[in-house]
Amino acid sequence: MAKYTGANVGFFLIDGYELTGYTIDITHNVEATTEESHTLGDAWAENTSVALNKFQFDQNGFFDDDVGASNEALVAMAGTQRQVALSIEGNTLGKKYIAAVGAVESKYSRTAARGALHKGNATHMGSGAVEEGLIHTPLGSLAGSSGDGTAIDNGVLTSNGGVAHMHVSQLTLGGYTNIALKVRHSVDNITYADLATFTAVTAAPAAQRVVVNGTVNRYTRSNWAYGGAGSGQSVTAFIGFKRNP
Amino acid sequence: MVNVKKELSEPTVYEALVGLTYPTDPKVLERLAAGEEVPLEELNLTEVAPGAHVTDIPAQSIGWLLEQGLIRKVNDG
Repeated sequence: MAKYTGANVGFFLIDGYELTGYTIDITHNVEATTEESHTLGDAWAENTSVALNKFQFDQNGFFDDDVGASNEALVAMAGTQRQVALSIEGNTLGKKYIAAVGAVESKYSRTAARGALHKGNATHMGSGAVEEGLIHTPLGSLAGSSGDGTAIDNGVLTSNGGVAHMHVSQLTLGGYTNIALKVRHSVDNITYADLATFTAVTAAPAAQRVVVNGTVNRYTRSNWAYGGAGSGQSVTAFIGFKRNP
Repeated sequence: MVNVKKELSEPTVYEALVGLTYPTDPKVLERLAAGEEVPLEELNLTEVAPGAHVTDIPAQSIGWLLEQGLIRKVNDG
């Protein structure tokens, strides 16, 4: 167990836009819906879960109209389902991240005030579950034309599938046709088999979520490879995987 | 004797049913089998696309790959 600060926020990604550098604070709420269930004759209030959970992301930050900055990421997206990934424990292999695939942007506010920087604040309401996985490729530049991440050892295999998430915040193909990102798994940490394959990415920003069923072997790791041939390529990406218990 | 000769000349061929990656250097395999953490850059991994026929899958992996339906045997070697 450890305490964390704002310096530990590793990334805040919305559909591949990396907004950490524009954001002042983020609040991520998960709430269980309850109904008051006390009746006549009760001396104390009672609340009973109605088995319905919901989440909400509230973010406050700076308005910035640069290409790829906060305004481009958030403006004119009201009502749109976004993919969100948030790291509050550090952008490190094996650390947890929070992902939401059905985050509907419900509000975007631009504020101008005397003697202050303009602000761009947004609220995303849940439409689906929040998923907490482990970082397999920390958000960063991936060198070379292909590569593999370091393996994460779960200790045992699991049998109920999982969910893979990826965000690409910057991509220069340099003549290559695309970049393919994957999560692979292994029984022995020697041979790895494809587990989750994202649709090949041709432009940034981009984000995807892939659901896998069945066995997820003990070891998992990420993989990336450019398609075709080229030079001068670069990519900044994050890959994560949430194993279902 | 005939069978021994066949094994030497015709290794068992497997078809990859999903993408696979594995090292083939015997020294690397030995280190991995011993539980050693081998840096990725030393693994010199072979990439195999789905549908490819291969003969160099590490012996210790063949059992679980067959069991999970990730490869299939094409010939008996």
